[in-house]
Amino acid sequence: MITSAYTFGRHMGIAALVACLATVAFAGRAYGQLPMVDEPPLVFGYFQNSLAYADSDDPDPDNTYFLLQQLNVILQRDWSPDWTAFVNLEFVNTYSSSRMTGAFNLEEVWLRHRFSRQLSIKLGLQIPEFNRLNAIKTKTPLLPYIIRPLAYESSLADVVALDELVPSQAFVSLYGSIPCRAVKFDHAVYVGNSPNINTDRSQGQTGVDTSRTFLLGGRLGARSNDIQVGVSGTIDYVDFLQPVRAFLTDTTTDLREVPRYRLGADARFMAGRFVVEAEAIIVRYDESSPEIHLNKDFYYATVMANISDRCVAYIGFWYLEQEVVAVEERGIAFRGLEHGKYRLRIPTAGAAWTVTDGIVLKAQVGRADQSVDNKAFTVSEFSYYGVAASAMF
Amino acid sequence: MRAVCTIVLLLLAASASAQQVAIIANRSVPADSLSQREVLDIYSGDVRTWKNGVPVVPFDLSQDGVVRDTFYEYLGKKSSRMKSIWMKNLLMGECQPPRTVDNEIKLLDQVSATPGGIGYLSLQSVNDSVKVLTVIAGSPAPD
Repeated sequence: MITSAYTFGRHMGIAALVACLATVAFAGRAYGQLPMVDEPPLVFGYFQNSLAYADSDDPDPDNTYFLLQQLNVILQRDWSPDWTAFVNLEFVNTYSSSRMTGAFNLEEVWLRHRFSRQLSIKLGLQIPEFNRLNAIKTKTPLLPYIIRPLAYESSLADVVALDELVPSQAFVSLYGSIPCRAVKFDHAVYVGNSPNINTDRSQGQTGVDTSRTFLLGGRLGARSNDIQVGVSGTIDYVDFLQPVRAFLTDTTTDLREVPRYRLGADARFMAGRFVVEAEAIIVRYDESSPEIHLNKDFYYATVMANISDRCVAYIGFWYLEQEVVAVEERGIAFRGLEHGKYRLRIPTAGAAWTVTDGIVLKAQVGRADQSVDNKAFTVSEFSYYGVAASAMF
Repeated sequence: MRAVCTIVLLLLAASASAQQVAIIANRSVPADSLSQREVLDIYSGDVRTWKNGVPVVPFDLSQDGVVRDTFYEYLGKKSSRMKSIWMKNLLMGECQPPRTVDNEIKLLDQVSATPGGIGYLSLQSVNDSVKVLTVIAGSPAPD
């Protein structure tokens, strides 16, 4: 299985390289034909500030805090109707390098050529199409949420293995939309890096090595006036055993590049004032070792009611189930691995009010109920209450 | 019989006062008519070039009113829904929202002066500087 994965990865790498070279060559030719561009690049963006109160059943004190959740600065240049360069710089969690808070991300840096409505190619760092929400998860003005459904909420990275649930980066993608009467069929296919192959610094490895393994993924969707559905999938390879390799007793299986499959489904329905959206994500590892089980399932559903053109209220339910492995130690001696299932259920409710175009006020409450049938872990319930303002500029 | 005549006259009067909206385009646009679906595809950013490769440049009235309401009713979308589609397109780097203008006179000037331009205004405001692609028979105008 892993050998065939190598071959597959090599083929994907060659295909992606050819696509890049062909498009860049075409870009160069097209650029030579372009008239001088007089218009300056577009500069715009958005940010979201929030005030949150969180209480917990554990001994930690409750906390209330202000947060600049996110600031995105977007630079865009349309070189022609077909060619666009796009840069999305993201600062999260009150980023400050001097205070050592938050983080700065190059979220998107890509060049796109639109051949037609049916086909575009995007080259460079990009957020891959996976379910409906992944590509817009960081676009806070588009979302009524303050805390997004679990798989998409970066502030829950300590609790949820976000990068395992959804792909976060791709580097080459082909996508488009094919109209057929009142229905439009969307398609997207992309390649990127597997997340952590050959990144073991102790072995002198300094980065992601894509010579043998790639992320390959895609989405097929259909949408009409009031209905939107899609299925998504990815395959990549992960060395998720780095932290526990030393403890494994199974030395017969090469677990450094384990295939990982993600399958997603999304649906969105509109009926009068109501909108229902739901997604499912299933993550499966090719578990060659009986010692490792890290599969994950995530589901969410939200029912929104458009109270007016500017106000929406919603209720939602998020459910995450993931297998966990604890390294059980007694003193300094390794004793074994203990498996269990972690479950997180969050009912949530909120509202968003568009004050004027580009400015949205939000409120949200949620209650997290965690459980785990592995005595190595302790979990507690916690509640979240937040208000936020999201604005474009 | 008298009642029937009265109803017919009332219907005719209502029809006469209905706000007819014309979807207009720059004279260089290689189309003589558009279906509702084609107009929706243009205003939702799915179609961005005319058949001759010239970029589509849609214009929108900035103020709510009968003409604007009639246009969006024809598209089958609320203006708030269209705005969310435009915002998504903008933030995804797909395309820019329609250019907004304050009134019908400016819209007519802009469409007639912009290759690939398309917009909408009341039928009585149309002149020979643009071509009419579709006429929408709207609901009666308020007094």
